[in-house]
Amino acid sequence: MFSNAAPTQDVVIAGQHSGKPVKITPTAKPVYDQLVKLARDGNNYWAEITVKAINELAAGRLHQNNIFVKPGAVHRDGTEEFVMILPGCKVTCEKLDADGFRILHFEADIQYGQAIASGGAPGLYTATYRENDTWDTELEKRGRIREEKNRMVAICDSRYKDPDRAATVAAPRIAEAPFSGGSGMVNGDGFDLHYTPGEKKLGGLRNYRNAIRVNQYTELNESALLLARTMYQAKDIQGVRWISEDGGSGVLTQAMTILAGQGVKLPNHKVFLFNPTTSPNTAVKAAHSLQMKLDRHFNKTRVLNVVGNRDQLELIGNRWKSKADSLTTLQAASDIFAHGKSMHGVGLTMGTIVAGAAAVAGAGITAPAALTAFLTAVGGVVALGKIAGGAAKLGNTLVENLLPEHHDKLKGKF
Amino acid sequence: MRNFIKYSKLKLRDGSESCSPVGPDFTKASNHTVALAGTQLEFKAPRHDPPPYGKIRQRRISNSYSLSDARVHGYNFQPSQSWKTTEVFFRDWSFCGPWFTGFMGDTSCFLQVIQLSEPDAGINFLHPQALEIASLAYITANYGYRVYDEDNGDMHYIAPVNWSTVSQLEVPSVQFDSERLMRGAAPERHVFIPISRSHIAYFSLRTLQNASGTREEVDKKVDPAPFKELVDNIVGSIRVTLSPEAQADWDEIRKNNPDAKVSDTCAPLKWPADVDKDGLTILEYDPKRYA
Repeated sequence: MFSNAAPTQDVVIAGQHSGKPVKITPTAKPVYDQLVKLARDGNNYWAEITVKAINELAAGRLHQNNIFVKPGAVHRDGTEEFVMILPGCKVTCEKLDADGFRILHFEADIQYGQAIASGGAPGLYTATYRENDTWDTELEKRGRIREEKNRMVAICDSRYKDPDRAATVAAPRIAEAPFSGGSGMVNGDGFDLHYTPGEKKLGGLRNYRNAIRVNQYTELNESALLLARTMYQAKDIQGVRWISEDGGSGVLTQAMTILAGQGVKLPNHKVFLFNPTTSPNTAVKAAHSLQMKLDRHFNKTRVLNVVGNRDQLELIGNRWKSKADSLTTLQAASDIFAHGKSMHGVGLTMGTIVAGAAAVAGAGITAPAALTAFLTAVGGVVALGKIAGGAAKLGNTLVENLLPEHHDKLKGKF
Repeated sequence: MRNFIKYSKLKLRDGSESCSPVGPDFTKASNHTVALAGTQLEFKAPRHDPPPYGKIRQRRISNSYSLSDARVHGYNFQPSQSWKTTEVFFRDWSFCGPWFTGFMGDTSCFLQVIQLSEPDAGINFLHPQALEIASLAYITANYGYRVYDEDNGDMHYIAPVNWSTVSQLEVPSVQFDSERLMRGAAPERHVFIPISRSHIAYFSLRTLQNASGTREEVDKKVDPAPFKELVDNIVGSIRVTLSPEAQADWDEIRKNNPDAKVSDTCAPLKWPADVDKDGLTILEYDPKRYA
């Protein structure tokens, strides 16, 4: 009414002075303004994330392997459309020729705050042990974990209707993590729960494609962004332990990948996956780039979990190769052997165990995959104290009987 | 048998928008009797039928309880640690929707004996006023500190709601609900019955509907009435026979104060609040008090 500017003109909302300009169409502008207002009021952390992510387009953070980006149509003039899924909103953008961005469409949920409050959107909850294996969960308003040294945070699968149920299932599982201190500690201290609502399990064989290409699993973007923020804000708290349960591994992997992409390091934090139903190898790579501490065991995978077992060998290899990790050759060999016992690994690894373990250990055993031959070899090179570890997992009792004095020496190393 | 098939936990399809689930058959519930501090407590409870989430085990009544071995509540649950508990009985019952719409929620029943961590000879829980103070202080100790927004004092829970007494009992008693203020209400019935000067039998019966959303949405998807009916049935089946000493105490209180009785109504408490180490005094909330 008071302005003479044509209302159809695109408005630049970010990158005016430096970086790439981000433009917005006039129809999408009011929604954006509303989000900015919510973000500024300081009570809506989800809106802050969304506005920041849009502004980051200007900083050129967007590239093809950015995990929020779902590529859309490529137009004839060379411009490209893509979709960003952010907390409370879905943004359709266009990459312009002149190295800028144009926001075409906003599908924002201004009521997202209420959705979080009623458990309809991902959120961070504090879990308190009630009694008799049951838990209370309460939403943490600012989405931050409790500032306590060695705090445990569970990232649950998305098949629960209520965070209370998620906590009841997750509690005994996080107690399985090697550094949790068992259920006594978990129940006594309680934990924080990153909850993702949903009807179905994440990952697994039914979602095989998504499970193995976990960073392209767009349904998790929203939850992962919120978790990434929680992780970032906890970076100064000592010894936080992030433990995923089943499909929660997907959310955790994406969150770690987001942080890795932003150059964040979390050297004081630990991570563990309980029965991951998405690729654990992708997770270990992300954890390495965040310089997170990995325990002797990175995950506990059930025998029949195909996705969780699928790239274990690669995972062990990555851990062994990585400088950020402390997995020794001996332990790597032992893990390969242990993995050989799992259903999926049986056919795949038996043939490579001896060769693999030997190559890993550098001891030069080239004998075929006969178990007896391997054990004999073990007896031969046990003085090196290297490969014997591989045997200990499988034939602990055998070694114990054949080489009693070495057994005691080795026992402590596993 | 028909219900066993019609209302099973097996989920093969999505249910309709709203459903009235069916839980355990209370007419077949067995009687449970337990002697606590000489007082005989009797109630009915159906067979344990836990939800398909997690491993929730039942706790069976054992032959005898040494109430002097009670343990304090975890600091995480009750920061003041001003009350001790002896766990007596726990069961959980699933409610299911018709024809393979699956699990719809559960109600659990937990019986414990509570007493002050630091015994106070001056207080006698058989006195209705003392029982009332104790029940309000106990619920505050457990829920009064659970604040959602410290700036404006928004809480996660509200209590007491639906304040009343257990009508069939001669001894003083208090029952009320606590409800969650966000998501579904997750109503929990709290029943306090004194069994001696220093011990209170405390039942908590908690319902959790298996639906997400605001309270209205949850109640629309899963009707809360069948859960409440089970809770009312169990509370209605409680019988108490006081030990001779407790009976003498109660007779004397009645003789000296013929008008002594539990209040007829009680408004929800003003939370956040803390409870002092003595377990009875409600103090102003201070997040650093027990940190």
